[in-house]
Amino acid sequence: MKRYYYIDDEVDTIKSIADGINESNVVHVDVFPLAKFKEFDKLTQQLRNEWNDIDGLILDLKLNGGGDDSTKFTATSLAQWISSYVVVDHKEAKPIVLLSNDLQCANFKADITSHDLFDMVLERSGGLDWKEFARKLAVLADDYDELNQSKEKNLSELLQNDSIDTSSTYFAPFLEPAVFNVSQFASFVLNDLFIHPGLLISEELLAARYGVDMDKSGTAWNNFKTKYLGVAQYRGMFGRIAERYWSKKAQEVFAQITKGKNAASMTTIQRVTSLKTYSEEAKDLVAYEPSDKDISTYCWAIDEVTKKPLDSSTGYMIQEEGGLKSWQEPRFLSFDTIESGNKGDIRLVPSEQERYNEDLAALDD
Amino acid sequence: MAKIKYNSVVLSQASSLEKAVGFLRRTLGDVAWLHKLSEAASSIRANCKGDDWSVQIDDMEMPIENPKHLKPGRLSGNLKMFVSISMEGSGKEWKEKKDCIKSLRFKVEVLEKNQNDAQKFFQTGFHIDKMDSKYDPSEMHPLYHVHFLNDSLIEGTEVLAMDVPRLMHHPVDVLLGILLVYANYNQTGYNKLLQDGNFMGLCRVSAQHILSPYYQSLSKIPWVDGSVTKSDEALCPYLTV
Repeated sequence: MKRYYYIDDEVDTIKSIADGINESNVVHVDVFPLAKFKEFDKLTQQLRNEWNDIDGLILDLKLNGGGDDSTKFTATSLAQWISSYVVVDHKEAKPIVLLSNDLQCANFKADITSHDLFDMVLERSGGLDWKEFARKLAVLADDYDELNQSKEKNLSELLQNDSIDTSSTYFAPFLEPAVFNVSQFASFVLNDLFIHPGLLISEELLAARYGVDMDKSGTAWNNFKTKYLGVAQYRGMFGRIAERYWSKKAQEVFAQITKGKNAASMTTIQRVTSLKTYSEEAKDLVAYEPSDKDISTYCWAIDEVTKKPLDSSTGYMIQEEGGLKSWQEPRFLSFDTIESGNKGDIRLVPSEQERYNEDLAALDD
Repeated sequence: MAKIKYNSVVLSQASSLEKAVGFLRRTLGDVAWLHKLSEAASSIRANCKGDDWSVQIDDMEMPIENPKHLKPGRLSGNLKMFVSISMEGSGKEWKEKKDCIKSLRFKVEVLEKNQNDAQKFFQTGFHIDKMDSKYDPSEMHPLYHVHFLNDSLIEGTEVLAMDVPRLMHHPVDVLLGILLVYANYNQTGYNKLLQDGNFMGLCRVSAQHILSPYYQSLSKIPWVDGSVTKSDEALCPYLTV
């Protein structure tokens, strides 16, 4: 069983969290005795000593918070040290998970460049599903292990896709096994490919591009997905963390089912009608139709809050942390979501916020 | 009665260009000319004071794939293409789905790379324009027309050159223009664009506001008394009775 160290200045609190995770019996979490190593150099020396005996780390963001074992540094500083230590001392990389009850603090939100240091970032104050969390910890540690052991670091194998374009700039950092950085690759998959639509898309976006209303289709969608879309599902490294699909492959599958039709040029109703024409498994699918009949159903995106299909030409672009990379698509909110005040802490691109304000004003005219 | 403002339309033009940058970067890769769309979007926003907008983008160098029937054949792989657009639009007419283009000059130039020999000058292309009052009235100009260019000079001898017909053509905005160019000069890129539902969605919106009014006017041929406007007639002067 993979073993994690949990480092937090609030010892009593995290003991119960560790116990909760350990009950799952898929991964083991030990509370790190921070009281003995509150100085940065002592802590890092201890981590050096035990590096080969652990498989990952769970860190609290504010190690310099108000806990009994408060230190003078944060998780970010420690994660940066680990990142350098692994490279300089040629050590195996391990997953680092940030588990904090204050991710909204200004320092963390502003320190964008540090976010990629963490493989997973979770708010512990919410209703976290500890069993699912434990499962993900195990997957992270397993796949890190596999990455560390892989000699060839072959991208097609790691991503389980024979047709990836390795000449693309975004794969360039991972083509040379000698300089392959495991943590960087993990961050690429977990933070870039999984979170932003682009090469990979979520199940909700997949359904939108097939024109399907997931809620109304119920099991029919699952049956259809099982029958046709397994070939498009991402099964590479960390693929058990999140259900993702290769966007290009998913489009090819649509074209195969419908004898060459291009989903991108059809409405949601046309897509589902076309699927039903050619596939018995599609007969119970329900096409997405917004309640307002004036809203476009040429949906190729989703609303990031409701996860409902959305025509991106009508949506408002979200401000992405650190900007978009070339293989990533913008993400959107619908007018209704913004107007309803349900966008949470998602921010719009400033010019899009201005456009929304004007659209709202035009509505009032 | 309060005057209706069309700022939201103007800002939507800027938004479409910004969105297109994101979509095209994903679909076509990091092509250098995309930053010009971002600059144009910023310019629209910066100048958004009234109900109209204007776009000025010069010399976007787009990749040209080997054209069919190319002569001389040795120019294969040795061509470059520049696309420019200057356009003014009306927010009010856009909103009402009427002819919203106040002025238009969309230009595509194809020329030989590394033209070092002044005696061998290869250049062709076309432009799609909206006729304006400065044009010579003695020449027939459909309101929107495509006009082909040929400025090649071969072995020191000018080729036969004269005005080719100005043929009726629907107007384009930046996005429809990009689609037109890729459809004609870059099949690989065009096929990718067709699969990009996001970019095609933006083009669809442009088509609804730019192509639909054009073809609705054009569909009034043959002209019928009382149902046509000067603008309808101007689409194709030689069919006006």
